[in-house]
Amino acid sequence: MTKKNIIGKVILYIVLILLAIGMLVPFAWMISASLKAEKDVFSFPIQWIPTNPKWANYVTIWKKVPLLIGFRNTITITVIATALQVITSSFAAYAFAKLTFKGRDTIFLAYVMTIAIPWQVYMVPQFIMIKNMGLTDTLVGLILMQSFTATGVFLMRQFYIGIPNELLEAARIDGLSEYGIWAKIMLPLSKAAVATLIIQGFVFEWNDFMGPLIYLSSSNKKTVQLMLRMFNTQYSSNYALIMAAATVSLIPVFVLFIFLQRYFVQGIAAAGIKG
Amino acid sequence: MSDTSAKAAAAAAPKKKGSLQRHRTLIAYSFLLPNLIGFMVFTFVPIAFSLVLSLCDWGAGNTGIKFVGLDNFIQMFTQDKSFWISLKNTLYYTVVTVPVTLLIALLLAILVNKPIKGRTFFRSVFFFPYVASLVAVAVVWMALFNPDKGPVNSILMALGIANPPRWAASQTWAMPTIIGLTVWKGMGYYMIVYLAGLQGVNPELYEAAALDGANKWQQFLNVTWPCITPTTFFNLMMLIVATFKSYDIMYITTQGGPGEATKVLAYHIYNSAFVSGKFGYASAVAMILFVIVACVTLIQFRVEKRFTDYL
Amino acid sequence: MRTKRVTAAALTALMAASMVGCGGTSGGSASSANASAGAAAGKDAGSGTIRVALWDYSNTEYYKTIFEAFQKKYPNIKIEPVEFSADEYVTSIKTQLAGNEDYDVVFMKDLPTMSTLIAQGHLKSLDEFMNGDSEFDKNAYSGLIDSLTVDGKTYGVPFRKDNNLLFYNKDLFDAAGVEYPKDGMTLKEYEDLAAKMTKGEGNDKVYGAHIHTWPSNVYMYARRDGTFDETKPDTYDSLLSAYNTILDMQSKGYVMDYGSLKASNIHYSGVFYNQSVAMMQMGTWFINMLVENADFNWGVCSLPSDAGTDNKAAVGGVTPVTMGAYGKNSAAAWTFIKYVCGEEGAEVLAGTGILPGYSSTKINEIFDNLHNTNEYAPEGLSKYINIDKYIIEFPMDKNGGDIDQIFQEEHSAIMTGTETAEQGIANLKSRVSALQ
Repeated sequence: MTKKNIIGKVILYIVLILLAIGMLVPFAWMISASLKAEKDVFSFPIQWIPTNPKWANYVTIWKKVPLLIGFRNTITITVIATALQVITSSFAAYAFAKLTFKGRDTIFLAYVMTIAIPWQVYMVPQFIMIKNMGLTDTLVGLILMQSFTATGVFLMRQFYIGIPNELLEAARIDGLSEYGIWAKIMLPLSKAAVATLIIQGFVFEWNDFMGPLIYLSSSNKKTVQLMLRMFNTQYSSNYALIMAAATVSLIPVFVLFIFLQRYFVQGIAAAGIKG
Repeated sequence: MSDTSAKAAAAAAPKKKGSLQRHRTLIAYSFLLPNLIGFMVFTFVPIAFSLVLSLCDWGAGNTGIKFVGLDNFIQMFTQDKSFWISLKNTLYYTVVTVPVTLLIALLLAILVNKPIKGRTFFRSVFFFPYVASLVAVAVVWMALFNPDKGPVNSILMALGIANPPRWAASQTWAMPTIIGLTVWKGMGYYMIVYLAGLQGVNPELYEAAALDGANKWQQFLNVTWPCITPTTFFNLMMLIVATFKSYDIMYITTQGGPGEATKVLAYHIYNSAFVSGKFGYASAVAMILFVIVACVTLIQFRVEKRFTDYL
Repeated sequence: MRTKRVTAAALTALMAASMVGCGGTSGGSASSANASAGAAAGKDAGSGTIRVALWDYSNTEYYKTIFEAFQKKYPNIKIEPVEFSADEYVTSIKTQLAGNEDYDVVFMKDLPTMSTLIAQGHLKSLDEFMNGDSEFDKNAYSGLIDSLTVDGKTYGVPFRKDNNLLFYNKDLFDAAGVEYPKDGMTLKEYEDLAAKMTKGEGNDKVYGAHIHTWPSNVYMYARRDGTFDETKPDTYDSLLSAYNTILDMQSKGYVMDYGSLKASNIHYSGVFYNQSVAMMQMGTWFINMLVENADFNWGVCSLPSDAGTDNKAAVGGVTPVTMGAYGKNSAAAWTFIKYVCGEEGAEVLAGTGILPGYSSTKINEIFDNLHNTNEYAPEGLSKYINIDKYIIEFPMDKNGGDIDQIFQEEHSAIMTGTETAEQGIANLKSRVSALQ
């Protein structure tokens, strides 16, 4: 390694570490606040490591909010909706990216346009429709509502477009059906995109509270975020508890992300596509 | 498998072109339908209905829907000062947030794509704000930027700045504060998308470029950048759309204030619908948002087409 | 292309048809409501399940106490509470009612929302129930029933009412050797007192007063003096003196800075509990919060006033209970509303330090007795809750939501110094006039 390279590497690390600290400060504050007594939360200068960590905050939130039921409901919704979204989106994206059929661009445009409409605009008509199907206050209704997003299709199409057509033509000449191409070529090549989509869907559904708020009214159907949101408004002056609750709700998403890291590391580079 | 290859062989015969076309269309629809049906029922129809509402007067009540033609739009353009203010704020927010986020996301992606120790850790760190719930991080961010006792201003004052910005409490600085929060929270996601794009670049291309004597910057310009253009298009689109329709950040932090300094179009739509109870009018404002994004998308399509043709 | 357009049109038509369908059913349920109203006027208290929409149910003890007591008295009626998050209550309830959800009873968070829901036809008028019912005493609500009446029809009964007072920390005044705030101060006297009580620096600073971030924390002074009405832009000039006083207090550091409070979302209760402010204007619900949280002596007096209003008038808000238009069980719903807003419900509320909509000598006694069960509470509270003239902070108006929104925006602009009070008031006038 040359001297220039070493200096470059050191600078790179310094930059990365500084950036990482910048990114983490708010979370450090959150965790530190979650272990403090309420009166110390805003005291300055900030005491990053509380001298007397108040673990009781975590016990308190667990007692005040039926988190287990919430986790069960959230996991049900998130897992099913994310799975449906990944499968149907990558299917549709293949059609949009690599197949030709009449009206393709028009339909795709319709998908893209809907991404731009704020949910508040069609929240009421959507609620009325889902109510008429008898699906309000059911997890099924919420799952269906969140399983067919235009963003998922758009994301997958964008990745599929980048996969060279020659590869598909070669496969077709080899006698692979379109379904075979989707399963044997497109999916394996787009692992990173699928991972991105899973995370995006997972994060959205995990953190969503407006949907559950409007569609789920029975207490045994409430989700974690809904419970946390209600907790936040009910204990609006108790930052320590709010931060503890936020920390708890973040853990599963973070763990999932760590697991999916593998796909980003592995990447799609090894596939040997000729550019 | 043998069945499909037989079909492919048959398809090769030119006289069967018509039925082949039909067959292909059928296959295409079989890919499309599972998503299309759900999308139509749960998203498209309610949206289509809302857009029809933009020509109507409807209060979401059982007082009936009244067709009013273009009245909503006329009122919006001629009388509603808040509409113009929020349109201006939306453009400000978008024009700053989009390039800044895109640039930082690409830089971060390039940095954490390098073969260094601990890159998984760094990726997770940069990505983490994206997964965190907005409600939680917004509270933290606002505490850090508190104009009087927040750590940020304490540090600025210690550095000798007598009158540091009053951040969210000031007409001038409220929007930059919110943009900062948006970029910080969102860039991790776009970084990940870029990362997926970067890893799709064939390493042989770099080797070839290096053999031709290209330096790092030239390699970036001639290899990396063209290869990740579809990713950039995706990020650009998603960012523009996300910034255009974002309102929750303002709702949680500034409620659109001070005054109307951070009131954006989507916030105005929310207010018109749920505060004023004018769903028809809210749909009309949404229609404007829709048209702007439609134009952006069409331009993007054109450019993308030219790019893929060139490839 | 063409087929697509036809499909889209058909889908839209389907959508419209389903919505008209909703309208149709609601008409039906409204007329059946009339039929059951007739029954309620008789002896029938109703039976079956009632769905009750509300917020903060799971962490509010008095709801459970009242509901249980009701259940004991009316075993045939089953209450099904449906709880929403407090911050999103308005949005949720508007969406749910637009979808014709069959809530029998709807607790109402604010009057602007109630005005909108009435205009949209989502609430049932209560006149048929009230008029034929000898058990119901319209006069026990300090005239507040009138403020829940639109075009001669009444849509709600006050469950709670709240009246704004000046709370103060007796211990801080004693320590500083300053006389307690008294009834009938002028705004100037209030500011001078705040100046006297402001002490210290940095983290240990004690502020003389605390002004929370709602627009009403400023406009209520003019409202109580009878010089200001949100729905009448020509009365807005009367806001100037309150704004000037409060801006002056802020610039001199007698109160915490508005921008800072807003930015860190600081709750008014925290600063009063940890004794970093000496005085604070707040609604009577704060009595309940102090009873539960304060570990110092506190007192109350009437709001300062330049017009010498003293204790002759009170300004505050009301929390009404209403009946949803699509509920299926009106008779039982009325029995429930009458109970929670009547004597029995009121006594439970008063026992926790919450001011009920219903007034009686018994309620006054309960408030006077708080002092005996809680050592920090002051004596003679009934003087401040039993007031002849009760002025609603924000009257019902069809543009209520919009006016409220405009006030929020201009208030924040004035308080952060983005515009002067004069400019802000001029903007308020022109923007609210444009609505009408």
